[in-house]
Amino acid sequence: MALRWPEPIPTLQKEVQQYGWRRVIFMHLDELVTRVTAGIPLTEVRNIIRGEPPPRPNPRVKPHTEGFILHIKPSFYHEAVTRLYPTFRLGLLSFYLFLIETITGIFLMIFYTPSPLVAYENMLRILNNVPFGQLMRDVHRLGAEAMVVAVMLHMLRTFFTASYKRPRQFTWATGVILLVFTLFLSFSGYLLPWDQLSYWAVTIGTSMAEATPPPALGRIVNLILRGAPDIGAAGLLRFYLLHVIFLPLLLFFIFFVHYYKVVRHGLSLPPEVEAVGDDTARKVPPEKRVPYIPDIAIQEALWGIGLIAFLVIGAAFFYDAPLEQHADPLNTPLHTTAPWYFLWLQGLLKDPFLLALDRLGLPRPPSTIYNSKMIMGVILPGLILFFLLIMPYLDFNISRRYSHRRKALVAGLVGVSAWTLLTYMGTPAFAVTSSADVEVLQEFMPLNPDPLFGEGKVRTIPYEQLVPGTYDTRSLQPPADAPRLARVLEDLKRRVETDPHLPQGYAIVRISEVQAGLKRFEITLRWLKLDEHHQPVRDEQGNPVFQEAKRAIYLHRDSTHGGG
Amino acid sequence: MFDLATRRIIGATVLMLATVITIGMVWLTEEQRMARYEAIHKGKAIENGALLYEQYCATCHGPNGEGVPGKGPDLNPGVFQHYEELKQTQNYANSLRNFIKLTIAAGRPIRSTYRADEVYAEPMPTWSQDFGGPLRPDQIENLVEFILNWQAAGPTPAPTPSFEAVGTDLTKPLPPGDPKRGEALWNQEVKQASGAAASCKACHSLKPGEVIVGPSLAGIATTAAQRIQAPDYKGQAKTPEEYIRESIQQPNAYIVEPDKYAAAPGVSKMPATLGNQMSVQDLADLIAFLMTLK
Ligand code: HEM
Repeated sequence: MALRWPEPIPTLQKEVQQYGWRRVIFMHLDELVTRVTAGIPLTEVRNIIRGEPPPRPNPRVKPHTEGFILHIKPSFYHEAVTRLYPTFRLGLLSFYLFLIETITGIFLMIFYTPSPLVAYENMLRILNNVPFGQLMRDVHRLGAEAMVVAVMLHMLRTFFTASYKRPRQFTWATGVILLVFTLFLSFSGYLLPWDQLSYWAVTIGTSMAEATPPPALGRIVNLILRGAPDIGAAGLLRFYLLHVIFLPLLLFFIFFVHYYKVVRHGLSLPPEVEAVGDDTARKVPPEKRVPYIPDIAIQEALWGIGLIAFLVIGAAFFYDAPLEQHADPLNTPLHTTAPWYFLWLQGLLKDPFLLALDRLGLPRPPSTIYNSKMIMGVILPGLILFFLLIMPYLDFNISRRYSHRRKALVAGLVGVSAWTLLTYMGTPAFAVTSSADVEVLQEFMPLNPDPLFGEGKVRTIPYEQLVPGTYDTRSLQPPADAPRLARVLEDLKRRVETDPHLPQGYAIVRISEVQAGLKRFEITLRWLKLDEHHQPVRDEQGNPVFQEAKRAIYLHRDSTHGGG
Repeated sequence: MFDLATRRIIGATVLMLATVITIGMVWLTEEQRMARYEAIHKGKAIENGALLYEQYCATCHGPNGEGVPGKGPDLNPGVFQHYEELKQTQNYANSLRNFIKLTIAAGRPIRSTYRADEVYAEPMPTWSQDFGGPLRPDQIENLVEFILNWQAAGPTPAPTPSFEAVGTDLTKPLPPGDPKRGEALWNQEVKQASGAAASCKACHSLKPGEVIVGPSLAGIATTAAQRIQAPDYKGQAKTPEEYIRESIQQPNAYIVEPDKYAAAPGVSKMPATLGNQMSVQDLADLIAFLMTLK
């Protein structure tokens, strides 16, 4: 029971005289708690902890009516939606992730300036001179990836549980917008470290904008996005502002539209508990009600604790956000990819349609009629997005039962498979045509970490095992005390000798010590030069001519190579 | 065993503890982690710098900073010596790092006093984009790290002047020469008294007629004998040995085919400082070897 203040307002001294100090302390504490919780007195907090049922009238609904934060939350849930299925808490997790990103993002902002002159240096500073800098960065990056995953899965679940159907079409549509914002939020952040990875991923990503028809518009869109024909200082600033202000604010706003609708219609019940065509989410019989306070609140707090534990432990022990070399606009890494959630677009741009024509031996249509980049890079994705937006309004099947939705479920699975396939097609593992020698050099020592080969095999050799000398794959005699070097040389031998595009191929490896703690590793590939009839080309003396490709890298004792 | 609420409380407590312990562990190891990251990054910067050096600098300063006659001075240990010299003689007040950085970034538009007796075809160009060069600031930093590493990485053997260099003095008596050791010196299999390898073969070929920078030395014993007879010869040599000696110690005394081998009127492309690296024995051995090339 709440205590009432005696009138007129007494002095503390009088209070103590009248009630004794224990009681006065309790009264004041009670007052404080009641105010902070917007209506739950201390005695009620004790009841909640003891697991006792609420009294009538129920003070536990006060925070929903009196308080700001909970006014958007329903005061009770239907018992059928409080388990893992059907929501899997994916919407909740998406929102939590957004909050965590905001907090860690502000931390990172303190140390970051969006200018090509210092951005990369700032990143280094965050990693080597800011306490908890790496942890914060890793949590932010891991959280961003997790948010994209959570939002995508959340969309899939609302599709598969048919929660997008009447009356929740608009909720779905706002959700699609949230998905787009989430993707672009993540994508815009991708550029900020200003390393090779980010620079080229974003270059690839934004190059699609250029294909927006008509060409004049495409150029303008590209200019608006990048601030110049290529990404530079202007582009970085634009992406930064998108990332820290524009997109988060919009996302936050649209989220509340989304969530208002969710609460307004009630969380959809699992399809099997309602009669076909019914929507009883808002008509919860009293015995099915689970109060938000305390039951759901505790659940949600638990999910939050679990999520934070996942991110912190994951970032501290299992995940390191990548940071490659400084961005270099003049040097395109061999296998550049968009971020994974846009790989499907990169796959589309490799154009499955044209590849299919090639397979069938049919001629490709002229690019004046069929502009692949425009159709696959802009028009098709635009149509897909538009379709997703209006999809619920086109679905006239009123039943949410799984057994009544065979076609929709199959279509959903086909969509997911197509997405997966296109994502695979987007990776450099699929239909990338660079010459065999370049691929070999890339596999053994890429100049930038490679999406397929990582840092390359050469960099797995511990520094001490880089024994200076010249090694010829035609007569390999690696030093006995350098097993890893021997392995890599064997691999190289096998690789050049078995590659059909490198006839009679061999490699010469030269390792030399350049400075104390610094070694140079050079690979020279040689293979037979063939003419158009696949016959060896010969010089005047009739000797076969060999072609050559060479690359050298340097390895320092302190850089993490060698499995460090 | 426990009811749902208790299980939740236990679960939440365990997760929170795990999070707090993880943060605590990160906290405790943060200093080391940051130091380690800095070392790793410095290693990478040196690697990058080495690649850039190979691409942009080695043509003039030599793959190992040993310098290229006629193109650019040695950097290892040249820069470090030059810096010390400037500090001592001119009160140069900047740091070594900045000295190197400024030189790379802005070039040397005007010849400094360093290696003043050598002639270089062109001044050092500017490299930083700030001054119209091709390199970004971070690339300049990488180059600086690489160059500093010659010294920082430890024993760049300090040039020990514990030997008596022959310099340009033609009158110092020479001991008997050993052509075998002379050949080894030529092939850089043994070092000169200064500890540096003889750089002769960087510019002179032993194949007849092949010109790298200077003329081929194939048959030099014979050619030397003809040279001292030539009407335009104005050096002091009386014998082929003396002619070779003079050419090494005082390349400007007589320049063969000046339009081919002079960097400026009266100044040979061949550095006049080679004698500073050699003891009398080195010189005698080299001459003995060259005299075998009939
Ligand atoms: C930033 C992104 C998003 C956030 C933070 C978010 C948040 C939420 C939350 C908290 C719920 C409550 C139920 C639950 O947890 O499942 C919800 C429901 C819903 N969301 Fe989202 N959502 C996001 C994106 C999306 C997307 C991409 C879609 C679909 C295209 C979508 C469609 C829906 C629908 C249809 C519901 C109603 C589900 C029901 O009544 O059972 N949302 N959302």
